[in-house]
Amino acid sequence: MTLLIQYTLLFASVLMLVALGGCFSEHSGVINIGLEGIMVFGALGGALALRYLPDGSAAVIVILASVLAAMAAGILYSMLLAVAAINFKADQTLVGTAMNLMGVAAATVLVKALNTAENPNNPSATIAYGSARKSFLIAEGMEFSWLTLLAVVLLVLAWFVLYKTKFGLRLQSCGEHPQAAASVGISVYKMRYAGVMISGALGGLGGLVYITAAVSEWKFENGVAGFGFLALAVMIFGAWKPFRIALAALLFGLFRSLSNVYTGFPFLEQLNLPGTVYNMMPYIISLIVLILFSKNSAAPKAEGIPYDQGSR
Amino acid sequence: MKKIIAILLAAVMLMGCVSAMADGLRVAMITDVGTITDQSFNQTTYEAAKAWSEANGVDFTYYQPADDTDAARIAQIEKAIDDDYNVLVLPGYKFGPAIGSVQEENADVKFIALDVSEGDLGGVALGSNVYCAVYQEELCGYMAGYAAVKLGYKHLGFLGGMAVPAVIRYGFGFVQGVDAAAAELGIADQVTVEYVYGGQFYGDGDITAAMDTWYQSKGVEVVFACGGGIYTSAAEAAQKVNGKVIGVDVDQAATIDGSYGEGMTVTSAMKGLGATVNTLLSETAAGNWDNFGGKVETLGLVGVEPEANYVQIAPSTQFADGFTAEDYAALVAKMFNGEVTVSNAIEAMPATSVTVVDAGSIK
Amino acid sequence: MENRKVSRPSILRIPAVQTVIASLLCVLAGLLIGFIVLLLINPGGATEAMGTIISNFMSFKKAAKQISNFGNTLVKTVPLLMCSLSVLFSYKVGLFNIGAAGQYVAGIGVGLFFAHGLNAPWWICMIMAMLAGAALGAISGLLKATRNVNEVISGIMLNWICLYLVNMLLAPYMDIKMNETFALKVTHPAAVIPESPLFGSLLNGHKYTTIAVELAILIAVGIWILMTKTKLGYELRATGLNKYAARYSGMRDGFNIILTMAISGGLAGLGASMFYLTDMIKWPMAVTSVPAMGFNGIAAAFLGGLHPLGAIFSSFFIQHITDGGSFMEKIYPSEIAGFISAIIIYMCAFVLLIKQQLGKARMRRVTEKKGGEAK
Repeated sequence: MTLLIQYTLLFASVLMLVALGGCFSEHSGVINIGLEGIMVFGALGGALALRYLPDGSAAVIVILASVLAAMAAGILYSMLLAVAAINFKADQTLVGTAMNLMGVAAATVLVKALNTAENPNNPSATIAYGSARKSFLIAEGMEFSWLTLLAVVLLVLAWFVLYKTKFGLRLQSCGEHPQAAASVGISVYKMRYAGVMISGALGGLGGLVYITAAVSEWKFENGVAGFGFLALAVMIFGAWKPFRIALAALLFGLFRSLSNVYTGFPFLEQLNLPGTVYNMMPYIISLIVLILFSKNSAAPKAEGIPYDQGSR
Repeated sequence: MKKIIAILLAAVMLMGCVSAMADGLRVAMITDVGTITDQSFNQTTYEAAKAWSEANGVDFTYYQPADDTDAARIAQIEKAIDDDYNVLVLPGYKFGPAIGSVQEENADVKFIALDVSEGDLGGVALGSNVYCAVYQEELCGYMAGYAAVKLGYKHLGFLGGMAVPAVIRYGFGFVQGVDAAAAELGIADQVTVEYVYGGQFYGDGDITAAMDTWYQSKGVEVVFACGGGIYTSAAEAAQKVNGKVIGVDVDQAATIDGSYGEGMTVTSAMKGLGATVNTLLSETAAGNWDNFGGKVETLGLVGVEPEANYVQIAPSTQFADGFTAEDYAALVAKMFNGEVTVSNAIEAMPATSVTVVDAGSIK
Repeated sequence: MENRKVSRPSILRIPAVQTVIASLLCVLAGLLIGFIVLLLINPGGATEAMGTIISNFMSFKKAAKQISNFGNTLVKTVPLLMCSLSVLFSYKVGLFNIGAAGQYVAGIGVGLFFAHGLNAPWWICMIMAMLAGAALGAISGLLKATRNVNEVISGIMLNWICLYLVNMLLAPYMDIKMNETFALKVTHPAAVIPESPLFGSLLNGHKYTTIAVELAILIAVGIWILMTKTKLGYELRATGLNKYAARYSGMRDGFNIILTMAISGGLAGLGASMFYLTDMIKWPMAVTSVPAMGFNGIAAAFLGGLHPLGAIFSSFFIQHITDGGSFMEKIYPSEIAGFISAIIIYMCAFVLLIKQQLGKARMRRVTEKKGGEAK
């Protein structure tokens, strides 16, 4: 049971963080499909920080350094989307797709270059961060991590910022009707940049949480195995609202972790269902919930349309 | 004086000859599906071939197929030949059909095919420019399972990377070894083996979750992590409950114990992939290819001396009263003289008196 | 002031030409950036490596090998082209068919099932694969039209569900020794697509070039005709531009959405069968992630300017440089080729900008010729 809870929280926090990031970007009016790529880069930034921090640093420093590095890397990578979509009015779906394709390839090339520079006999794309990962865990021997807590804090913060601050409301207006927002003096460009950069930060952090989830080294040629798209799904599932996103993430995380730990539940094992059924469950259940509850969900109205100051 | 000069000249010429043999050689390796950093047989082959080439001043490079098709593999083989490489090292059963198609056309190129059996060639007879080596992974899997049970472990696990023939042989051999030891100790009703494939050759959250379930919820004591980097998940999970791990392919005690904790690795089921590459390349350089060309060698036991065999368990095995180094040597002797047989069939799980829980695949 | 006639219609006025020039510029920009990256990693071999990527099969010394590798690239272009058609067709109608990957997998599963399990001839397998993809697409469309389920998320969910279902479907037909489905040419030769008369002879009887190549090109032309010259195509595009206006003028937008997704899905499913039934590739046992072809189709669609005929060239080009990348000297990590294609795709995003600039440059010249702007 503990395992189920641990891993549910783990998968859910990854999905939630990245989905929240996507949510900010879309609320500001920029479709962000490139979450996969942002996750990989954020993971890279965080992993590098973990790798190069001196052994035995205080846990607080390890956590802070890696989180900030992951966020910074994510923000940097998201600038690709920001510049192309906002300044150059590029097709946002296309840029997102390109970012996904580029993310894994670029990260692998970078890591290989780094590894080979350090040791010519090591052409791998692996970064090992063994002992530093321990600092994340709240208690030895369990998978409860400080990062999950951070994710919850960020969730509440996101809700607050989005709905209770001037910034958040203005951000949303840029995604609903940018011309109206501009007419009252809001800089749509700046707001959209903010939205994309926040998605970069949160997505990058999500990537870090994913790779440090349960192993002490990560092969970057594997990217993030489709989690970015799952987060996209969770965002749409949560109808672009933070708390609903959290619920969607929990639902998904629950069934995902169940597919791995079900053998620990004797009554489930006795049902003798093939493992594939458990693997399919998160998707089937999500689809069913979607069918029942999507009637009233709506994307931000002006998302995907490049903002042109001249148009009405 | 003249004689000395003559002898010196002869010596120089001889050395020149040998290195000329080596000079004519250009070695290339082609990966199958994995990469040269898969911590499994592609990496072992790459490292062995590279080390040999560097030590002998021979040109070496590797090629990687664009995708998992015979056409792509053939394309890379042809590119290597086009780039004037004349000794190709090809690890993996997937190269069978490719070799079958290109061997005749390229009679002057030597193919060293590892883990490829004649049947893999697709009905074509083996050419004299091809050498195949097949390993009897089921033997070292057996030894590992046998040792583990004799050392007192009753709830074991097998975590295969993917269900490829080599991994299946390791796994089924492991199960047979566990069964035999349990029968000898009379505890067959108390021993259980959990059996699953991870679906990939690296570890991640899902695999660790499954391993955590094994170690914590089901009480598994030792897991045979048989699939490249997938051991990271098993070791991660083992660390939390002081569990044990069995390594594969090479002696993983140093890697695993070094990163996860002293004493975690009970043993490792090893196969001499690197040794084969070395031997073949050296012999080819020395001009002895004809001793190997056209042959399919089944590499397993060569004698009763455990360390000389192609399949063995690591010297770092945690021998103890239940299973000592002498017991191991005795087991090897019995296997060599046929008293103990291990089936290498991969179609179905071997029948056993111990309980085997087949959980299919994690992903 | 003499009355200067406006110069003969500039070829640059045609939007299609503008798109082609813009795409070419993007490709060049991408290749240039890729070259710089190669220089950064290892200056010595950069030119040669770039040369290999661009020349692909031409980097072989023997003509026979050049031809056979050209054939390989051609065969792999077919599924990429079909997937890109699938994506661009639905995109023109305002839907992002990210489920193309799942429809592709469904096509593989059903196509191979009919081949191995029911011993059907190739054309039946292809039709069934197409119907499977179409059905899957229609589900996404139906969910969107009736329950407002975003097609992106239904696509992603169905991608994974399909993957697991196909694994289960094809499990009985696995060759344990090779860890993948049996070779069709050996077990069910009737299911293998016939050899291409045109390309077969051109390519010295390349093993895997089939009539699928001609078929794919014909389908691309067909889609172009459908989209631009038929009433249905007009309706679909209108629905995509403004759903409400379309409904107001009497077009059935719900039905159109379902139909579009079905056609999209059918294209992807058909493309899958066109690749797997050549027996060049087999389905491995227990695949754990959705094949990338469906997603690469998105890239090819955009690089081709979202035009069916452009997609033919862009698909071939992407496949060309991907294969070229696999022949590169290994001083560079093999991922470089993928990285370069991704940069090219990224550069495509700037096509619009370049088109605008080209348009502006033209306008400037025209106004100058006409006697200058109004003072």
